[in-house]
Amino acid sequence: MMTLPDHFEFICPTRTASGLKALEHLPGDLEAMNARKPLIITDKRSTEKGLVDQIAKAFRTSGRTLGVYDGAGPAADMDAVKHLYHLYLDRGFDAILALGRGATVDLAKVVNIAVSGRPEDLARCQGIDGLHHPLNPLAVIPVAGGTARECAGEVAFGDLYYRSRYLMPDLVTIDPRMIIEEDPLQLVPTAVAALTFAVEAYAVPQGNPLVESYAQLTIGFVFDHLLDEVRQTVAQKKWAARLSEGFSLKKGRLALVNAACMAGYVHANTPSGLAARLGLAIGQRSAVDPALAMGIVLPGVMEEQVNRRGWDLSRLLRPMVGLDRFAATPGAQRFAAAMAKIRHLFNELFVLSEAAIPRTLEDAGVTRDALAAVAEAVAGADPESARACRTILEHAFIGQPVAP
Amino acid sequence: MRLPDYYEFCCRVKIVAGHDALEKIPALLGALHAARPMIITDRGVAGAGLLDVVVGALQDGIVIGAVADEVPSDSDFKVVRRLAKVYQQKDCDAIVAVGGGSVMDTAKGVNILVSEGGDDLMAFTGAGALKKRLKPLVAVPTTAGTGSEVTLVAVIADHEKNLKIPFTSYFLLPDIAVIDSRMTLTLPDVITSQTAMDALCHAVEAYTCLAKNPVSDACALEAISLIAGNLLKVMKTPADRDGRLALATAATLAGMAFSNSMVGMVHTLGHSVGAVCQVPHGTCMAVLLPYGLEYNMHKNGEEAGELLFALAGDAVFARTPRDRRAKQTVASIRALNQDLYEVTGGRHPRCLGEVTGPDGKIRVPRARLPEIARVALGDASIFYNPEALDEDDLLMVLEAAWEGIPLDPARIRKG
Amino acid sequence: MNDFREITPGGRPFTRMYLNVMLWFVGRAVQAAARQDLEVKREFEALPHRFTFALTAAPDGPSMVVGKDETGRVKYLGRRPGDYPLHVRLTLKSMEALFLLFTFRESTATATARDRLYVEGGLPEACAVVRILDIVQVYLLPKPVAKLAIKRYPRWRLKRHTWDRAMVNLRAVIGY
Ligand SMILES: [Fe+2]
Repeated sequence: MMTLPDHFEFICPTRTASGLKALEHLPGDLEAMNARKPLIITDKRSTEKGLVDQIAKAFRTSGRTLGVYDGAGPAADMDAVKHLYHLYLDRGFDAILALGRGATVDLAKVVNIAVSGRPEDLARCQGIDGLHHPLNPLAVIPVAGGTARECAGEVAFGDLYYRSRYLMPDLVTIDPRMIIEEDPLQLVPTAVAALTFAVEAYAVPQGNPLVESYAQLTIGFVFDHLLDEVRQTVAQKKWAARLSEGFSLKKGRLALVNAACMAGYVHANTPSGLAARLGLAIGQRSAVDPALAMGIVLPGVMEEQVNRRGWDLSRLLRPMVGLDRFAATPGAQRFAAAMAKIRHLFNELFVLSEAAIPRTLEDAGVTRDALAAVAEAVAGADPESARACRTILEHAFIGQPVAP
Repeated sequence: MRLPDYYEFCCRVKIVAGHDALEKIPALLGALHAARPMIITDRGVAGAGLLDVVVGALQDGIVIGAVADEVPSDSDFKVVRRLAKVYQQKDCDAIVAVGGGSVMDTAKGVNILVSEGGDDLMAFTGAGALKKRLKPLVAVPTTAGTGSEVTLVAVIADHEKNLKIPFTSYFLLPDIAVIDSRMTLTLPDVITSQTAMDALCHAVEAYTCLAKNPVSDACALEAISLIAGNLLKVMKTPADRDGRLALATAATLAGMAFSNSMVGMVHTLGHSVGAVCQVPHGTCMAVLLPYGLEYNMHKNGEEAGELLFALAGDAVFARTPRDRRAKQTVASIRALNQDLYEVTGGRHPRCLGEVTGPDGKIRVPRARLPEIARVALGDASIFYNPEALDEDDLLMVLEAAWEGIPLDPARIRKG
Repeated sequence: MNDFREITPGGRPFTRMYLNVMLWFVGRAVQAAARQDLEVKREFEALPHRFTFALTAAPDGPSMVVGKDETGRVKYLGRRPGDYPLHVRLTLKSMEALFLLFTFRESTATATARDRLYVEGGLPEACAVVRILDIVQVYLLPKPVAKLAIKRYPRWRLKRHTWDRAMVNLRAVIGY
């Protein structure tokens, strides 16, 4: 049984709505926040794929007018912020619907900081907990893929960085119609990032029950659905086009989007973990996707911490295999089984993706020389932590578990 | 992990829990730009010395604008109006509510008036009547049961018109729930068991009824294992701080679960027994919980079976075959009631026939069961119950619960 | 800039028409059942004097109003809930939610469980309204469809399944 820490805190101000006809709830949900004229901030892809039209359809009979800005690009663009700031105020918008992922949602959040207060706030409220008041209503409508931080309270926008609970969306509306067919491999980095945030949230001797509730869901959804989604879609590609939309397939996607969104809530309530920081540092020094690098180093990070600090993290296995198989596994085997599950996930992805998804840092094309630089960048001056980082990286290089 | 075709989940309340959580309140209020809270509580809380603990914890960091310690157990519009006036006269800018369900409901009502102005609560009853954030409200629960520190409902009586008016809005949610082990440390044993069983019911019904969703499932399982692992321990060692914190946390988790997933027939019947015979809510819950599970087992046996994991631990779960787990869940709850019966020297009843009042007389006369069944038909929780229930079904369950015998499977009509 | 546009989504005339017809018929069927079916009759008798309820979709979607007149006779009162003081109002959050309900993809219980249906007014009375609507659905729908709409298909006497069913439908059509 879980023991509680002596003190813990948790907040998730977000209302999550997921599933069949979720979009149709938007007008009413906005009304409940006293918002009547929403501005959709999105990218060209959403317009081209008909996602914006779907949202417009969901607003039929609501009597509302929608603004649509679909110029969000992959990079931080201050001109777009200025443009949207004036648009929002001049046209009397009172809420933002961020439709998309990654940079698109970041743009929407930055615009929301500006329009909720004064434009100077963009400079003034930077950093951790720099925001002190709730912002205007913001809803995120996720699409598949992304950074798994869309629903968190963190924004990195060019040189600007913000972290605050007030950046968590008021509403997340997950609708299967927004999760459209695309390369299944694009789902992988998102799911792996979500998994990393969730697993690292366990890296404390006594768990925060709320963080762990959301973390369990994230881990469970990823392990229940990621491989199937990738497998099915790859198989279907070879079987020519799908005739009808398989509902089960959508359900798997829906679960993965839920996982990404819950990982955001976990992320907002936990400090950034070592695997996440190592992954980012590796991404900066090589061509590998930082999200995948996070996942590759993840089991080693957990093993190293368990070895060094003697923590019991056997509970990690539960969401990965479900109650039955968790209960069937003796306590002393659980942690090792959990780490093996993570490694197994990558091995399978490696095969399914025809080696496009790496299992090890070596597969990922990271050079041995880069490892030392990464360890130094992440560990800083602390020799113990530098040693730990080196051990983790060297093991992740060849995919070897960090033995006790 | 089950993902329903559609679900919603929302709990905006910030949870702050620990052995010294009260001391965080000044800083938490500061972050909400409030500096002069009004404390709302009741005589029982003040009498138990808990108010002093709260005042002591707040004093160093903040000026307390007013203290109102006379919320009655059946609070009404008049009390709400009076307290709202005190708040305004004393120039307060936030509310700290310390107590159980009645105090929380009153504080939510006061918050409507002081935030929206005027003294007409009725103007804010309908769905969507509240449109903006209210004043900061900090909830400090003292009973570890109702979960009202995380629920968005307030039920306030209008004694003049003899009505109970429900208010529902996300804006009624407290901003912060502060769970401090000191607030439940001196709870008498029977209250501890009653409230814990109420929380257990919230979690079990959230997990097994129609509006279940993944987030409430996770919270509910966590709550159940905390209660199962700590209730008897605390009953035997009332000063167990960690155990008290675990039970209080469980109540909050269960509150988060059921305020999103709602509850089913255990509450349908429990509300009605409580209303007709004035039996404490937790007592009804403890007695009726096994029956709710038995009645619905053909619909939600899978879920009920999973609860065994949280109730009895992984070893028992692993050695119980799948198809026997749901029954074993019911058996564990009956066993828990039996243990509580023994540890309280018979003051924790095992069946409705054993419920007695302070005078020692039987509280639920068998002859009143038909009336209880009739009243139960009007309880909205019946919508969320997996299997349908008409008056005959309700009476059949009540009869069994009165005697304390398991339901006869042949008499459960399966839809 | 061509990155920005404003759109005002239109209505849904066909869905609205379909729902209006369905609600009209269900409303008249409630009126008919109150006269033909003993259980519905008893439910209505237990409700307060001049009891009136509405089933509607937000905001100002298709609606139906049913109520008792001065003498206690149950009547379908049309589709304008604003014209009556209501004891109970069942609101579907959107027209789409009402459409899901009336295309039998979601039952009232499912709609409630999914936060798509909310109730205003007295809860005991609202429960009675839902019970009445459940019985009416059994009258109107073929068994396989009705089974989707309610939790437990009732075991009725043969007369109720045949004669009463025919009469309720007939009376709903002719409005008596
Ligand atoms: Fe309860």
